[in-house]
Amino acid sequence: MAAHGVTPAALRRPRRRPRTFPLFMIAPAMLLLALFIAYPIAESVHISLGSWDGIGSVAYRGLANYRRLAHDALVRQSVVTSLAFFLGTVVFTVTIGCLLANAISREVPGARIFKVVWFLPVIIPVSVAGIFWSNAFQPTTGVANSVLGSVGLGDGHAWLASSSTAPYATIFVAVWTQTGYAMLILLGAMDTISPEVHEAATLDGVGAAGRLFRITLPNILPMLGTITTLMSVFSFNAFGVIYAMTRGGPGNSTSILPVLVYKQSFLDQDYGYGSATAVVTTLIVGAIGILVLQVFRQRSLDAR
Amino acid sequence: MRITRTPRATRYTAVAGVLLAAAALLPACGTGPGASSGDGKSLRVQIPTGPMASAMQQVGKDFEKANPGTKVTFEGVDSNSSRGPNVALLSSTATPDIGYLQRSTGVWSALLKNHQLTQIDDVWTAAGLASKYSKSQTAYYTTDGHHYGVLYEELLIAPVYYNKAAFAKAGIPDPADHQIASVADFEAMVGRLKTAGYQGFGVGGSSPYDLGHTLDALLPTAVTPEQYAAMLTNFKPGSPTDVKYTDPGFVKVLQTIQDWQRKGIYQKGMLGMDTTQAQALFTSGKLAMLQGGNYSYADLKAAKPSFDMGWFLLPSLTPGRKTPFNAFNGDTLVIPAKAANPALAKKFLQFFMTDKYQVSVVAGGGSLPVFTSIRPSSLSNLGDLVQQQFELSQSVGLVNIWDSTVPSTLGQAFAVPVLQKLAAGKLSPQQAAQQFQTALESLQSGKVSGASD
Repeated sequence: MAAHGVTPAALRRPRRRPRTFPLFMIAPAMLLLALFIAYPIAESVHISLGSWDGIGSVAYRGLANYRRLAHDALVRQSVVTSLAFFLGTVVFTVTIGCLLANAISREVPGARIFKVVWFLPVIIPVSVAGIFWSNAFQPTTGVANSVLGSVGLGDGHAWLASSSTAPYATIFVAVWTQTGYAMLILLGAMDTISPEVHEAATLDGVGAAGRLFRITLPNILPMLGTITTLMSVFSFNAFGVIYAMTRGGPGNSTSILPVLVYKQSFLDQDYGYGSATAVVTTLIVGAIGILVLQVFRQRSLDAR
Repeated sequence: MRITRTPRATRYTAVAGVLLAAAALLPACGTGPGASSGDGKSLRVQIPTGPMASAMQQVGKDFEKANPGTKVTFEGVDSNSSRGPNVALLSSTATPDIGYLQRSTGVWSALLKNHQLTQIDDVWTAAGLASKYSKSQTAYYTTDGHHYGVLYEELLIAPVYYNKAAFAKAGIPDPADHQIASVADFEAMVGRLKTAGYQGFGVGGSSPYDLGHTLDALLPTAVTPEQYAAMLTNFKPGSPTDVKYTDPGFVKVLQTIQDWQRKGIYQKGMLGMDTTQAQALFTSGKLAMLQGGNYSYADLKAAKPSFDMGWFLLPSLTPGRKTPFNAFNGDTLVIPAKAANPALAKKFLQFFMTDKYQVSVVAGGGSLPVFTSIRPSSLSNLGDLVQQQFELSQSVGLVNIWDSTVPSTLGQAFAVPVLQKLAAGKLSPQQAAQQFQTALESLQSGKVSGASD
């Protein structure tokens, strides 16, 4: 019938609305991602391929900045410093965070108070924490040295003045600021483990350490992987703590890659070179993130 | 399965594409040439945060009174931002009408190179600045025969403040004419102060500039005036290469800085202490001497130390020569090319750059006036020690500070980490000197950007 006007071919045409509607729905998100993530990243890569002093157009120089990077001893030193800082921070943050979460999860006396106290450093702005600890580490007048002095270990240690001790001091502060966060996330994961499992293990004579390694850790492995990845990213981007405490010194002994990028870009006005360093930093962080996730994914599979 | 694109999907994609393209263009539009689109009555003035900021409010009120219907607002910019990130603001359409920058930083050269500064020859003429500044200041602020900024204050770098009570306890007389005869005398002074229970010479070794100021103070006393003049300019590509940082004079400065750390002349933990922390150690009475500037005296007095202060200059490294003052002539006000109200901004600069405000605002804030016509004796508000410094600077002479005159890839940002490594014993003076020479050669070759105009 002509009134219906529907041909058999038209009846066979696939319904397309379900495909266009999702596209329409994700378009705003894609637009925002493109604007605020993809475009800045692409622009950084673009700038890294040229010379730019912050204004006007980028003068294309090909891979010159990357060739310069490869021969720059300061960049190599910053990569090593960043890796050492990353290792120290992540290992201690996750380990201590895990132990603290376990203690609270096992409801040690005062667990609720400890949960708040141990989380407090997370809410302190990193610049404030950096300045506080920078003062605390000063010889004779600093709180840390006063405490050491009171127990007979001397109060004259110049922790931040030596390139052999300053990196440890900055790692300590980074761990101090991040451990509460790791603890809280891991505590959430531990709380999902059924108490009966622990009770049964206790009845079987398994001690606290045994329960931690044989029950708790295997059950929170995916979250452990997530928090380790997050801490890896945080530690690689720990510009605030370092800049507030040492500004990358003495010398360049605490100059992790973001500090170097800041100096190259904003102090030297060499945005092309700074962007090249930033791109390399991003690749390193990305590689480490993928590596950590892979390690934990494999462990999770093994645990099953 | 083959996916067929529907006309509607194509439309959405096209719209999204247009939006993306527009969004991508927006930032670019922000850096394009702008037009003065202001109302001609409201003026935004950027000023550095610090002691002068409150005094500037009065200038704003006076300007509003003299120009009915105008409204002046001040926006602070901190030292770190003004040395780099501020370039983005000053080159954008959101720029204040008057911007603050340091003439010695890459911000100035980047703005100038990209035609982002308004030429203000008319302000210079109207305010008579060429005749009021010294010849070297006028030359410093003249580019291809034109002017793009006004210098409004001068800073004296690296006078050493000392605790008079500590000196008295150690049996050390006040240094005559604010000079120390030799490095040996200075080191002996520190020895006596330490015996009397004080720490010696305070420097904010972890700050981004303080250790560089020690080098600045010693350098003009270790090389000839001709060599020093060459060091201030030979970073430009094509410059003569006969004066090198590996020459004995520069190495001697580096050697002295390293020796002072090795001999315990500096305070304990110098490399981990910033300027504020060193100042606190000094005002608490534990540290006998502190490297500062005319600008730090107000802060030291505000801390209300329990002792009187004196000051002197570091010893000369060449026997028989007096140590000159280092001057920083970089605090600059400019009118960005995209300023909304450039005409009003010019009027304000002309209004501000007068003897009246040089005395009440600049000197009132603890800085030194830049007009040669203003005599130290005419300033009652400068602060006793700063007034003495101002007076002495006119007799012992002024030299432009080295680490803020050369580009940051050789100057302050580069020099301080090298000096830290030197003081920490990680570099020998010769190795450090070679690093400075390599940085110089990179600039001379044009391989590294940063060689300012």
